[in-house]
Amino acid sequence: MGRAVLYQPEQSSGGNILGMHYEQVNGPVRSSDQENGTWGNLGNNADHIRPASGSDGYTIKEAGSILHLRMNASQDHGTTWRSGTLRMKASGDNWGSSDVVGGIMHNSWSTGSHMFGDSGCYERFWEHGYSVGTVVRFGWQDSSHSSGRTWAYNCFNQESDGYGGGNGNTTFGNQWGMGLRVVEYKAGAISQMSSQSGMGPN
Amino acid sequence: MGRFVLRKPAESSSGAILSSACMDKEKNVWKGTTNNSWETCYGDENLITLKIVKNNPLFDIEWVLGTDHVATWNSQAFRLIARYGTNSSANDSAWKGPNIMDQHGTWTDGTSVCGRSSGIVHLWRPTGFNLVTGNYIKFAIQRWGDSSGTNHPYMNQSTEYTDGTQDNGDEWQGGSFFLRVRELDPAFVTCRANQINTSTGNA
Repeated sequence: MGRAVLYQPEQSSGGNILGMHYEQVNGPVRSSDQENGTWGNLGNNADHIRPASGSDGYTIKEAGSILHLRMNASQDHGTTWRSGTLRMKASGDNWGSSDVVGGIMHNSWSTGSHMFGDSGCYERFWEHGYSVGTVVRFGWQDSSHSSGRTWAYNCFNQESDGYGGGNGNTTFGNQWGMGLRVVEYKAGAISQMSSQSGMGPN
Repeated sequence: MGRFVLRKPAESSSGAILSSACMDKEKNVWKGTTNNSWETCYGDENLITLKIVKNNPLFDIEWVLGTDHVATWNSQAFRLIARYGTNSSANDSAWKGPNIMDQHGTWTDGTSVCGRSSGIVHLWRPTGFNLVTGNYIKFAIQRWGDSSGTNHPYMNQSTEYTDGTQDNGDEWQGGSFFLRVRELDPAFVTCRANQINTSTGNA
């Protein structure tokens, strides 16, 4: 068992964090409208969080470094059940190829009466293997069950997701509830990684 | 209330993290009581206070929140609130709501189910506050109880086969009411399409 990254003594004047990168969105985000195991890039209002050629990404600062990813998302309720999943993809060659680097399952259900929304959060350390200067781009995809699917993300509590084709509602106004943080750590800051900490293309 | 900064002093002159504070409610539990209104979790209006290191600070915000189950449905939302000032009370301004939200729903059709846990990560730069070095800012979390979900289970407790509206003791408690706020050095930070939250509206 290795040292915990956040509790070790500082090793250099600049610290063990080489850089940080964020991707986040304000207001409801439309689903990809893909269903039953078919993935698609998120839709309306997802310009800055879905996979996109030439988007701003994170530039790797040091060889052998480790990326710490943390991501979260919310879906609100609807009048029937909701089942779906979100995944985070990453690409080091402007989406010529990509890896799945995280996923969040959302599920909300009812037998015809009251419903609720749900939120999820995921984090991991990733042995990316990219060379210095590589721009790593990120983006969300989703897939939902055709019998009871999610229509929009980043809606909360009493807002509802605009069942039937809407883009989500905003009783509380446009909120920030969907984000990604990427932190690049010096390799020496982490003493052990699982042999499974890299991920194959998808 | 704890405080740590990567084992560094609270105010560092180098590195991505300029200052950091976290709050973990340990095994203390709390449940909301209101519907259709915002209520400060634990009644605690000072979960975290930070002293500003650099002018126009940039904050990394993350939390983990958990809610126990309830015998009928419960639905709630959570938001971050902040206020600031020139001294450590940080009370010069009114409470502000930067539109950072999360939510939980717990529901069951006549049987016992477990609760919900979630978390956020967020980048916030309250440019409208005009914060400068030496100012203070403090943070709290509020809960919105749904207008119809009249059951209020405990937060920071996760039990099964037991009423989540009761205090079920240490064995089921802890690990799900945590907030950390860090001031970042902007030189280390990028944000896709510059989508940094600068919301500073009244709470």
